[in-house]
Amino acid sequence: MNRFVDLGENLLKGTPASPGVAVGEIRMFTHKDLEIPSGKIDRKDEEREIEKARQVLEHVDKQLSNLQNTQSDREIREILEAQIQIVRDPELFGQIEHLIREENRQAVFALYHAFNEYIQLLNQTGRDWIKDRIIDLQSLRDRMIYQIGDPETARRDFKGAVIFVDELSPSEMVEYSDSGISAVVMQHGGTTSHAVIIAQSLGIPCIIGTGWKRSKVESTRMAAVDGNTGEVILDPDQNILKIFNKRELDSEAIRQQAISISRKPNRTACGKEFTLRSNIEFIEELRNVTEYGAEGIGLLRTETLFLSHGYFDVDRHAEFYQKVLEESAPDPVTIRLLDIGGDKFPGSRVSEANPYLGWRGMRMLLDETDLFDKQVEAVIASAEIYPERVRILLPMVSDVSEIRTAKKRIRDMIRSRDGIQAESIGKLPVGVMVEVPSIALQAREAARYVDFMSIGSNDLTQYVMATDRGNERVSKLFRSSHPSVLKLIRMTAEAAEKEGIPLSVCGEMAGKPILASALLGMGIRELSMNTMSIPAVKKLICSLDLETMENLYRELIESEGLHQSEKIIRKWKERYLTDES
Amino acid sequence: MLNEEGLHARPSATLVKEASKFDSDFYIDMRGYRVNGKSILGVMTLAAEHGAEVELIVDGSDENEAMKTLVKLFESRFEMAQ
Repeated sequence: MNRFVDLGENLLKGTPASPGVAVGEIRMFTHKDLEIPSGKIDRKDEEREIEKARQVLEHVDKQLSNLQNTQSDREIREILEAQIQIVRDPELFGQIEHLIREENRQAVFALYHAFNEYIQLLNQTGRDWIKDRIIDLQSLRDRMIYQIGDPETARRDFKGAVIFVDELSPSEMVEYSDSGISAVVMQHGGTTSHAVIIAQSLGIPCIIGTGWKRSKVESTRMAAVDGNTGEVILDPDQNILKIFNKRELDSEAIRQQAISISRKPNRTACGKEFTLRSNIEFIEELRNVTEYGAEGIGLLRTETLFLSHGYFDVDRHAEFYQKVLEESAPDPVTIRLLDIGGDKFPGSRVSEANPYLGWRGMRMLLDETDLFDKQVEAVIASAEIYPERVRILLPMVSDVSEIRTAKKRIRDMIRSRDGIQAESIGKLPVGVMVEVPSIALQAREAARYVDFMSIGSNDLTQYVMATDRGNERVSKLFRSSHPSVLKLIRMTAEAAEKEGIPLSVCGEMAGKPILASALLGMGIRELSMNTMSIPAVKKLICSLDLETMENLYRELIESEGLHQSEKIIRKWKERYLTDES
Repeated sequence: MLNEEGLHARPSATLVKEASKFDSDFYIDMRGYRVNGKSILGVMTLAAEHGAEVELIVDGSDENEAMKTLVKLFESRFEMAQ
């Protein structure tokens, strides 16, 4: 990794978000620092500037309409429809005309400021759903400005280009991909954001959280991007190009290897079977679920779908669940009920000093029974079409009474459906998320009320270690490999075994090869993780026998604390993951 | 506003698209604000929520037909068109 150290400003480092390697010409689009000429124009040039603005709007209208016609995803078509209506907005154009005629501004200035006025107004509404629309509005604005200034860009021929941006919205990612870009480098963004997931499903290398100097990137023509390591190299020389060419081949080889690993049976070196499933949140992730051989969905997150609409739309949720079920046949799909805090509630003014210890998950759902009923209704409707494949998971439970109340409500809802259907889904399994220490400690009692259990290792670690991992000052204490976390997992695993119900682990630790092996060593046979992690986890588990994995688990759980357990993990990494860095 | 999401981006787009098919002018009044009902940005800035009361004003040659269509759109929670 140190071979690029002497590159100085030409080496940028970000967080890898979508794998793959690419080299291409740089195209930069940033929402900030656009150069907007503020000089006045002559009165005689008014008509020319107005015409310029009109042409740009028409041009983008046509591009968006064409793009919309090629999209099959309903959500994306609707987002594009809203964008088309924005470009056609008579008030927006009126404002542009006003700025040109009355204030004698150039078309660029008028466009920029007309858009900004609306962005400001929309910001003031303070609605959650508006945030994504504001990103769209900013990008529409900048797109027109670039278009006026640079007719080359106007053609939007991005074949092979490496795109440098602040952040992309999901619809922009689809659009750029359609025009043949080779990679995306973002300043912001999250590894699980919708746009990044789309990049993964389309196989576009993507790096997020990258810092760069605008002037530097602007004066550079080419960039080499490694979505596996998070490295971006500006102006690569022959040597670097050679390295990246090799990496590109290696990356493809790794992908092919991953696919061939995923076709192999899930069996340890000593022949014991195990199950790997995917955690997903978006439709676009399904493609990789199949490709990487996940056996169904161990955790279907439903929060983003809910939050993006600002209310619970039963039909849309049912449609989403059914699409997931259709694509992951014949494997099971575990739908987790909304795991959100009261502060995310549309129109809610709830503000809590400790949201993670507050009104969220089942606590919130059992108060907001209308919301609970609607989601369960969407799940039941899906279970009627795909019987025996749907499982329902209760989030953030701290006491068995919450399980009992929720279960009774679900059973009553099933019973109230008409007879035949109720029978076919009568067995709809209900499980509990083990992520609060109190439930892990009472796992035996909890297990008697549920059909399966699922350990959410991220929240469990947060609560056991009393550590917010987003807080850099304390995040070194956030370790799922800590013996205290492992002991609670073991308690849960023993309870599940005694009560004869299935148990899976679906937090991030399940996606880390060494920790995943330790879980197998503990006796857990089902893991659910980010799809992209499956090949590496599977490769290691298949190469070890249970005895070895049990030794690892024992070493970890018997360690006295962080210092030792970290050392053990390092040692095992060196021993078993030598071919990966 | 009968639909639960209120005048969100999607219903706004549907409303504006329908309204633009008519020649008549179309305005929406809410809490003393008036916006052009053919302007999606204007409609979105209302951020009208479920339960909000809005007044529709249609004026022009095809106002009767326009009003009928637009009222139906609100009543059907913006699901019918497209």
